Amino acid sequence: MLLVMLMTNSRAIMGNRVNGRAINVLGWITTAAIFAASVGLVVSWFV
Amino acid sequence: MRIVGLGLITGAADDDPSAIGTYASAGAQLGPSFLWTAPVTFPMMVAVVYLSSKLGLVTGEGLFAVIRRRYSRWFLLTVLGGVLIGNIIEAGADIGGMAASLNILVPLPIGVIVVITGLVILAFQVWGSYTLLRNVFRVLALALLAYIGSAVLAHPDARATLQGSFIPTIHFNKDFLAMIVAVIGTSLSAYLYTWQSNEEVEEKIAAGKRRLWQRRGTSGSQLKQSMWDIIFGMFFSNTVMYFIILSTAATLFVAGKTNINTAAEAAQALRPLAGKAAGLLFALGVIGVGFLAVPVMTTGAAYDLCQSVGWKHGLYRRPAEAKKFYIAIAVFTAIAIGINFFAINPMKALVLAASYRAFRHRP
Repeated sequence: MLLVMLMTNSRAIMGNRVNGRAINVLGWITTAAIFAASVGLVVSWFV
Repeated sequence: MRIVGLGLITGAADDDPSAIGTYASAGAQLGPSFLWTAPVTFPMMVAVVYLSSKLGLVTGEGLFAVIRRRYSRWFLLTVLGGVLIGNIIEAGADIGGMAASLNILVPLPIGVIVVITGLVILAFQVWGSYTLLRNVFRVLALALLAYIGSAVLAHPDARATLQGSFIPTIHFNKDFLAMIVAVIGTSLSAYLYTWQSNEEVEEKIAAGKRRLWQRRGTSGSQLKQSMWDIIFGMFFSNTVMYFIILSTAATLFVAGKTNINTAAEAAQALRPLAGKAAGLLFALGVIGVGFLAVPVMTTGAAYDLCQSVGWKHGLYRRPAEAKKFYIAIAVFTAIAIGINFFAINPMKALVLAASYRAFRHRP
């Protein structure tokens, strides 16, 4: 997801179609949720 | 003019047999207080799939073709390796889940059902054209409506349902948190991203834009259309997720049968509690959507591989025109079938796939 966010914000790839603010905020929240879930999973291996 | 329903296919693929198992197990274990996760993950799903769609529309290429152009080779191969392993394990777990559900209806040895199911799916991918597959997929997606039926048959308690849907509760115990992790990993699975970008490209080709320079670029109105299509598809997907949780929450959880691990187990356990019809609907949903979800994973893996190494690919090409692409599909499907026979039992593969899914988001 991080990769998708970086790519859709890259002017070199998207030209003038880089993300607007609303979708970026939502996208980063989603990235954070996925990241938190991954961390949670790793932690659950040790608990 | 864009064809409606691409979002519906991606959304349905997200409710694959192993996801149905996860949601059913969440409902059985934690009850209606877990329902709010469906509306909360909905906007996140829209973000993930819309961005993938946009990437496909703007560049005219699939996700991995873009990664190949922009990032280093070792990075490309690392991401590719993760996605291939994840897709294949999950396809294998899904074939196992379909076979377990079919086994409720057809009294054949489970191994025989696994092989037959796998071969039917393989034939479908190889000989079906992109437009045929897309049209069949749109019908198969409707199999998921079975879960709305099975939830209604479960006669949920109205008050607990409403409370669980609108008041997010988090219990800080191990079971609850582990289930949230599993549900996020399941609903935001990585195969969605690549699939949507590939679908957009196939649609452009089906509309006659066979060369890359013709496919580059998109219009504001097309992006808007795709946004609405995806909102519709993800809404469908999460509505189904909601009703799966509800149907086991209202029955198995209430009856104290909280230890459910797969969709087939849920279907069996629902029979005495909610009636034969509810159990049957549960099993039919798994089978129907499995025929959609497995190709999304195995063909999806073939797209990713071919885009990464630069082989000819695409469902719009006939097998003779893109041999390596179709061989990749066949090999991936065969491995997915094989996983069910070697060492790993379907249940373990399911857990493995779910853990893996959550983990491979990291790159």
